[in-house]
Amino acid sequence: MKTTKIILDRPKISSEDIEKKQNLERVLQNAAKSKPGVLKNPWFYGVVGTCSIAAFFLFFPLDSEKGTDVRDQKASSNVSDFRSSKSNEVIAELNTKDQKSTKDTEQEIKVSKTIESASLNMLSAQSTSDQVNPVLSPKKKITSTARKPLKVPNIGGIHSGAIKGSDLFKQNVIESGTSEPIKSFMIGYYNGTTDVLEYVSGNELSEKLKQDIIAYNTGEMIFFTEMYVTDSDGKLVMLTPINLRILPN
Amino acid sequence: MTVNPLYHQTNQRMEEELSWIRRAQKDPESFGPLYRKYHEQIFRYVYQRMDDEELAFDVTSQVFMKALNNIHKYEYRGVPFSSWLYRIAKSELYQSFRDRKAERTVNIESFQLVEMIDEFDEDHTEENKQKLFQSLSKLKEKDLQLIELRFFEKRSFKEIGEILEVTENNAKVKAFRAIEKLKLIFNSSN
Repeated sequence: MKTTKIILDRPKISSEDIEKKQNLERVLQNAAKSKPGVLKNPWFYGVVGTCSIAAFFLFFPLDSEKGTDVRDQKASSNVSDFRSSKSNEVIAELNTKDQKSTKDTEQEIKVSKTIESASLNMLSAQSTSDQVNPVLSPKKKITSTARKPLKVPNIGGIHSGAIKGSDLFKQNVIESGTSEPIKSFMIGYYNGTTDVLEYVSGNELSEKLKQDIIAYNTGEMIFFTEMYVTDSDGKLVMLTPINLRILPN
Repeated sequence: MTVNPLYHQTNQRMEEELSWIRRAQKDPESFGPLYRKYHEQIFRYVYQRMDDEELAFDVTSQVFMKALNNIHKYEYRGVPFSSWLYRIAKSELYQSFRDRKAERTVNIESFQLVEMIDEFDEDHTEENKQKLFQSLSKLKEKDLQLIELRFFEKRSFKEIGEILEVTENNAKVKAFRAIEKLKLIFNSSN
């Protein structure tokens, strides 16, 4: 059990005696000595931590971008690769199918170039990669050369937003929204290994394509771009792209 | 009951004190006025609870050193600076008890003993004085602390609340319970 010492009528210490014992110098010296060092100061860790994080992002900015936007970057690189090969093929194929007079052909080439530049602009906008943008000047090319799309293309009546995997699976074709069927299109999706931008002739969605989309892209966006139809004058026109998020069943 | 007059300060004194604090927060060398004003109070508070005069001076120095090192954290809440110093003193005091450097002591004046016996409606006999001594030594530390602050040092409930970091009402309730416990121990030792 604790014991407390009790003292009755202890002689008092006078105020003068207490004052004599005052020693501010000693207090100031001891206070200066006992101040916590830099390593014990929480501010030190705060500053060092913040600087470390800042330095990390300063030295590895590209890596961090790759980490967060890797799919977008892959998509944009695919766009670049595709630009030089597939687009030319598509245009060439379409041109051979629609044999016209020399005048018409020249006009078509002009239109094709228009389509090419406009489609590249659209794809670059979709890929959200700023790296592609400096090459193109979207405002200038779209306003001067792109033609107004005819009507809105759709898959099972859906042009944008979300679609259930099961609903997509039921659809076999992409509707152009016009009396003419889509002649060809490109589709951007993830195939389980990488992001791909695939050229499809015609307007059909193959079983393999649908299976890949549902298997690897649930919760993700898929993009249908460069959808071509012929207008009433027999000229090639590109439709507005379809962006769809695949929902789980 | 008379109340410790040192605690009560005019607005002018409080403002003056606040200006000293602000200066000391910027420059530790300006801690002098606060040190001189409160040194005696803090020493008496410490020495009241221990029996070693030199150690009491050391603990007091320690209190002011801690105060100086932490004055940048001090926030003015409209109460005297002494409340903050008392809290540091309390902490340093109990640290010295834990380190067994000092022995917990209760210093009582005869007149305080008489007042307390009056509170219990008992006669001023030598036997009752001895009983009260024994009862005080049996009291738990937290109750003893309240009895000291309220009945021996005559502090207001507001000041007790600030020292013990409880509300004024809570200090009142706790002090009442402490005196009830002391009365119970006193009566049971008959």
